[in-house]
Amino acid sequence: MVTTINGEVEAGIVFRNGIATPAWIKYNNNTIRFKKVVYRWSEKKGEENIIKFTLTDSQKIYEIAFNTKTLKCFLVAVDE
Amino acid sequence: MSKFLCLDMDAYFASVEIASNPKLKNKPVGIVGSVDRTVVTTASYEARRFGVKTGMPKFMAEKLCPQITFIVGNFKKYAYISEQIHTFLKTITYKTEMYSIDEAFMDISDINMSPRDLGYMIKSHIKNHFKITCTVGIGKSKLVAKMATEINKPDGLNIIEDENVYKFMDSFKLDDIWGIGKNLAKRLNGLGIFNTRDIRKLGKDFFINIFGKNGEKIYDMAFGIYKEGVKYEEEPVKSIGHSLTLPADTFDRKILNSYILQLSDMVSFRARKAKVAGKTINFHIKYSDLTKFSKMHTINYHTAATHQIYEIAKHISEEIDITKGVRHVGVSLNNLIYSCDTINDIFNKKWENIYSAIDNINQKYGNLTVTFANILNCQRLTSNTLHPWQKL
Repeated sequence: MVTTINGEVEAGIVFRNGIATPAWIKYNNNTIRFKKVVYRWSEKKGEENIIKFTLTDSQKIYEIAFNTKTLKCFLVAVDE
Repeated sequence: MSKFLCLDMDAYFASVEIASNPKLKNKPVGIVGSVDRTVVTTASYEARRFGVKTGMPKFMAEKLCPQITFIVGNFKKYAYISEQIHTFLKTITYKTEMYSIDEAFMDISDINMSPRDLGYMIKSHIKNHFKITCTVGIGKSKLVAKMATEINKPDGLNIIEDENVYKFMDSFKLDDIWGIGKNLAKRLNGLGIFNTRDIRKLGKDFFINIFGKNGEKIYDMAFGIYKEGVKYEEEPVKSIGHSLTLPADTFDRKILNSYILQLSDMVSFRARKAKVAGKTINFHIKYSDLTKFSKMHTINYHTAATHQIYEIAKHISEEIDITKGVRHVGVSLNNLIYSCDTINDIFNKKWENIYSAIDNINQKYGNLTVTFANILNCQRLTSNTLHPWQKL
């Protein structure tokens, strides 16, 4: 079941060879550590570039949006 | 010897969604335009087994396949992946044409690699990097390559050798052949022509006499000949249009006008961004009973101004019978001129400045950040995504 969240979250993002990859987020007082990036794409909103990911912690699928201009990270949705 | 490759992504939108979320794997999935009433834009192969097809209303798909998972399409995501695939294909040859969001042609005549190896290389790159499959067709023309993607789907690789082209083309019904629509097939059937073998039996002149210039093309197709090469240079757009299915049928002109305004604004925004202006405005609707109305009107000046496009579309819409209920509405701008610096030449400075300010804000903060207040009456706002083959 997909739950839409669309909320800003605290996140740890690893930058390697110019590629940003979320490593963890803090959500509902829990730290969720991602095991794998499932998919990665990019979207434009005006001048802002938003990198989107689906990631898994081995159990659930999370969609994360990272705004490269504001450096804010959002949890878009969770598929349990 | 010319060689062409056609790449067709398998159930593209659905495949991208399944790749993004492995929990959807092996499940029937339908991509739809919105959460409420809409049509299926792509169905996964699992859903197709139940008879779900592209263009089918959502309720009908649900009836055929109650366990189907509907996903609201993210066209920005599909456009991004398509662009990435295009970028990859261009590393093989610059003679690459992104024909649509999920189809590409390549002229591979000069590539020093066997067509089979090349086909497998492309397929495996797409599978590894984007986790989706595609069907590749290879043949002596764009037509043969395209038709070769129609068999052994999904994940196929079909190479049609020159000596097998006639037999291959003859295996298709006329209306399944790329470029022969249902109406043309009907006309050909009326002449006793049912497949490409029948076409070859008759002379070229026979077809030219009946179909004019198109007759030669039809005759050539029976031989797998397609004179058009790969269009790897960007061609200027011929028209700009948007359409949407309303969340509920409307019998209210006020509501309809709000949607016409929204669509006119989207069309004109894209036109101004591309520095084009048009003289012909096309307005089309689909009634509740699925019958259609379409009309165009040509004005004596070129415009890219929302209020002018809207006025004309609205004027045409007065001819429709609103009591029949409107289900779908669309507006497009045609008869374009290019490299327009101002939105039109009879424009006063005030409007030009207003549009310039609106466009600057929307370009910076995203589409529809500033728009006409009447658009707030619309319960559905359409996607303003520009597809990669519509570089405006």
